[in-house]
Order: sequence, then structure tokens, then C-alpha cells
Amino acid sequence: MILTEISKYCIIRKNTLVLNGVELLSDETNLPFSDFIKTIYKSQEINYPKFFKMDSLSKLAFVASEILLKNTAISENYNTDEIGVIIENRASSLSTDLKYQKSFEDKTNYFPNPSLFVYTLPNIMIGEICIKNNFKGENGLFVFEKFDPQFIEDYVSMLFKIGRINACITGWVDFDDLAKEEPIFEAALFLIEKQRNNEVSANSIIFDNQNLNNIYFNKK
Amino acid sequence: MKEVYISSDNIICSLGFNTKEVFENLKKNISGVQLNSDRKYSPSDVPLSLINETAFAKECENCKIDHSFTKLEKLLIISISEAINKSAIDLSSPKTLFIVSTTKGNIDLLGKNEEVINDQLYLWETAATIQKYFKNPNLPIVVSNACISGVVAIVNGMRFLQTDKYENIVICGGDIMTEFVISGFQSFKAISPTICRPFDNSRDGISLGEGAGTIILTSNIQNLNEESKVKVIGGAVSNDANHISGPSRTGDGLHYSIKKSIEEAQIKESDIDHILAHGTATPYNDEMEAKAFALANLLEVPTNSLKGFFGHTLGAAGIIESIIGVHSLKENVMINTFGFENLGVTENLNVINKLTYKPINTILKTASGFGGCNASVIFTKET
Repeated sequence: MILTEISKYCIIRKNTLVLNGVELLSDETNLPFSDFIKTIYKSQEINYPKFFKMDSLSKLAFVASEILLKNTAISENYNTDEIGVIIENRASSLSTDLKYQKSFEDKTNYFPNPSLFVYTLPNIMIGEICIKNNFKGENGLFVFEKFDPQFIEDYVSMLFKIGRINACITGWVDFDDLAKEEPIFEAALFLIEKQRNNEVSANSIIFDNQNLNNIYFNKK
Repeated sequence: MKEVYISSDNIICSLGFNTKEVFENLKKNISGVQLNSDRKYSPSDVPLSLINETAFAKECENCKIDHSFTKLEKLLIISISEAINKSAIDLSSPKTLFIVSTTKGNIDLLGKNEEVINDQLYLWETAATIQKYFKNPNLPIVVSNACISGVVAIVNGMRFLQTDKYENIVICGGDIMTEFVISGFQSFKAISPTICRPFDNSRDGISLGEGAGTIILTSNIQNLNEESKVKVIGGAVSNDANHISGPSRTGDGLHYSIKKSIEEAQIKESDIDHILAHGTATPYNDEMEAKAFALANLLEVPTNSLKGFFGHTLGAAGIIESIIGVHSLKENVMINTFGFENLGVTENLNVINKLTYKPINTILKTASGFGGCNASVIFTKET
């Protein structure tokens, strides 16, 4: 049996940024998403010009992954093809789909834009994380109505078990502004690794659906 | 590792409403891609592979599907119904899981009424509609990984059967033709003005298609008909980590995926008798694939792309093309690459240019897509 742990986690929700249970940023000015995500980008000293070309979903996933991977030695500790990125989401790429729809709907202003069209696929956010970090392992984008920690446990554990991955960035990244003026957005990314020497250490968080759930719902 | 068998399948595309009909049309070298001038699809004429509307309406009537379902949902329901007719599997069993593969789902509903946001736009809702229609008790899985979705869904089906939770997996995939998708590929200048020509030296872009496909997998040999003894024995997904809309220059991402599929299948490269490539007929994609096959020592293996027959069917592509591969195994015949004449990639790829009857036991299906993703799956015939 392979023992795996949640070695880090990062959660971004409206007005807050949490890393391993510690609130790194709290915005009391209620910034709109586009400003809020830029504030995080700057405050966490991320420097990646491609960020500004991304759609909202990719920005959210990318920033969460950068904070998650900061000060880790993932790329040194693992081969590039043994690091997986497995993400769940609710609204796929519908926010960008609607923007793109408007670019061709009006025939007097017909201008379908390729750099927008490419973001009408939810797995592009996985591509962005892989490109930044040179991760070449397993990819998966799964759509569920809500965060499904059991699926993550089952699927990611299976990839460890068959030896396909030795580390995984996994979790939930969703951005939806279809129904409401204010977007609903949420990123909860977890770094999953094998436990050192395959032993349970006192302060490690075992990778299972209960712990994913507790972290996601902020339960102790 | 548990054995994973294909119990039954179905294909719906421009060339027919069941696998047999489509396969016969491929053997006759008939393409379903035709120049289309319907302005609901594009402001200019564009070659498309479309499902026959009259026949589709008749199929809906036969299956008694009412108008509350969207076009995509109807296609998936017809496809699954036809596949299940040939199988002993109980769709309502807790041991049966549905996996739905789609890139754009009911995207045709977007923009129809801006005031009302339709729940049917959400892919999990589409999957739930299918699951409820067939009275299945399990939460369905939706795979939406661009153009590799169909192959990923099959690989995942094989993986889920390794757990004790499930005994049968219904893998269905589909995407319909929309101005949304056509305009997007046009904006990339990626659509050929004629029927696409995969791996050819004059290739100039893809042809788009619509379709649906179903593969039912089982780990219970009692759920098999006498003739069906094709197994899924390996599969893997990878990323190029290179560019979100351009394929890798080296092919190493696809190569990783092929290598790992071969390892999992516990076979050698030389055991692969036939490759069904992705072969979109864009200059960069086909070149990348050829490089990956070279890295994997597979250049001599007879290889085709089926995109010239029924276009690129997005979320259905990996499923439909895998089914064709499975029937190639059963009938010992390899389908030619429609539109291919002269090799136009830098590697000496063995592209099949005519229908070839030959004993084949093991095949490889690959796919690559936006976001730099690649997937591959290996099927073998139990002898």
C-alpha cells in the first residue's frame, strides 16, 4: 500500500487567500474578481507575463498553483512525467464561452478571436499549469455539480497505485458568472505526495476524502 | 490487473446510425464530409460532416424520445440505447457507471436567450439527464479534456473497472455542429476548404464533424456475447507542457503517453499491428504525431487517420475512432486514410493508403488536443 499525504493546500475564495490553514490575504474592500486576483498575483510576488493573457478560470487556477508550489522542490524531487494535474470543476469554461459567443453572434461586428476561443475549453487551465512548471504527467478535467473529494481520492490514489504519478496537483477550480452579476469563484488545490519513507509522520495530513472535505469546508 | 472487455458499441455520424453501417461505408471509401452553405453554421461555405436530419428524426421517433431533450442528449440516448440492445448489461445496476465525454455539451443553447441561463449548459447536468434516462443510480463522470476526451474516457473506464466498485462502464461521447466551434477553428485558420487530407503533403487544415459514440466495458465475462473478445489493456494521458494552442515540436508528450500505455499493457512496440492516429490534417499536428511515433519506434506500423471520413467529432472522436479500431481487429481489416496521397511529414510514417486485409491482434489509438494534452489506449484481441 502506498501512503500519500496532503503536503500543502491553497484555497482562494471571495476576499480570502488561505495557504495550509493560514490566511495570507483578506480583502475587506470587496474587490471585483479581476482586481482581487491581480492583488494576489502582486502580493505573492508572482512574475509571469502570460498571466495577463489568461481568462478568469485559468488565472484563478494558475495563481492557486503558484502559491501551492512556491518553496517546494517538486520539479527537483520528481521527474517531469510523474507529476499529475487532476482538476474538478462545475461550470467548465462557460464564462469564456459566453464572451466568445458574443464575438461572432453579431454579424455586423463579426470577430471571432482565436486567443479567446482557446480558453473555451476547461482543461486549458491544466495546460497553463503544466507549461509554467514543465509538468508532463497525467492530466484530467472532470465536471461535477459540486466538489467531490471521494472522486479525487479514488482517482488520484489509483494513479499512485499503478505507478503513473509520484506527485499530484489536484482539487477544485471553478469560475461562473453566467447567472449573476458577481461571479462565483473558488479554487481549492492540494499537493499530494508519497509520505517520506512511506511512514506516517505526526504532523502529516493523510490524503483521503475526509481530510480533503475538512480542508475544503474549513473544519478542524 | 482485471481483464477489461468491450461488451458492445455504437457509432452515430454522417455515415450512419450504427457501427456496422459506418464501418461498411468506410470499407467502401465513402466520406461524409460535404461542402455546406447553411448560414446557421458559417458566413462562408465550409465542408462539414453532418448527421442526416431526416434519419435522425426517425431514430428519435423509434426510440420515443420527446422534445424536452436537446439534440446532443437525443444523440447520446440513441447511441447508448442501440449499444445496450446488443449487450446483456443492466444499466440500472449500482455496478454500472456512466462516463460522458464532451467538449462543448449543449453549447448550441448559449445565446439563444440571454435573459435565461439554462442549466442544460452545464456538462454535469447533461450527464445527469442521461444517467436519469437510463435509471442508473451512480453519479456520472464527465470528462472534458478538449479533443482527447473520448480516449481519456476509455482509459478512465478501464481504470474504474480495476476498483471493486464497478463491473460495467458505459462510455458515451458526443458533440454537435455549431457556429461556435466552426467560427473558432476558422479564427485559427485551421479549417481546410476541401475534405481534410491527414499526413498528406498538401494538407491544409481540419474538417469538422458531429457525432456520438458509445463503448460499453465490462469486467464480467458473462456479460459478453460469443464474438466479442476485445480487451482494453493499457492507456495513459500526458501533457506537452509547451503551448496551449500549438502542438509540441518534438512529440515527446504524445510519446510519453504511448510509452506508458505500452508498459501498462505489458507488450512490446513490435506487438502493435495498427495505429489509429489523431491525424487532424493541420500541418503542425500531423508533424508532431509523426515525430512521436518515431520516438516510440512505431514508424513501420500501418497507421491511419479517419478524419477524412467523418471529420473531427471532438468529444466523440476518441470513442468513434476506437470503435472503428476494435472492428478492424474483429474483421482483420485496416481502413485507409481518406484524402491521403503523398507523405507530407518529415518522418517516414507508414500511412495506410488503401483498404488492407491482414491479421491484426493489437492496436493503438492516440489523440492530442488544445491545452497540450495527449492520450493513448491499446486494445487487443483475445486469441
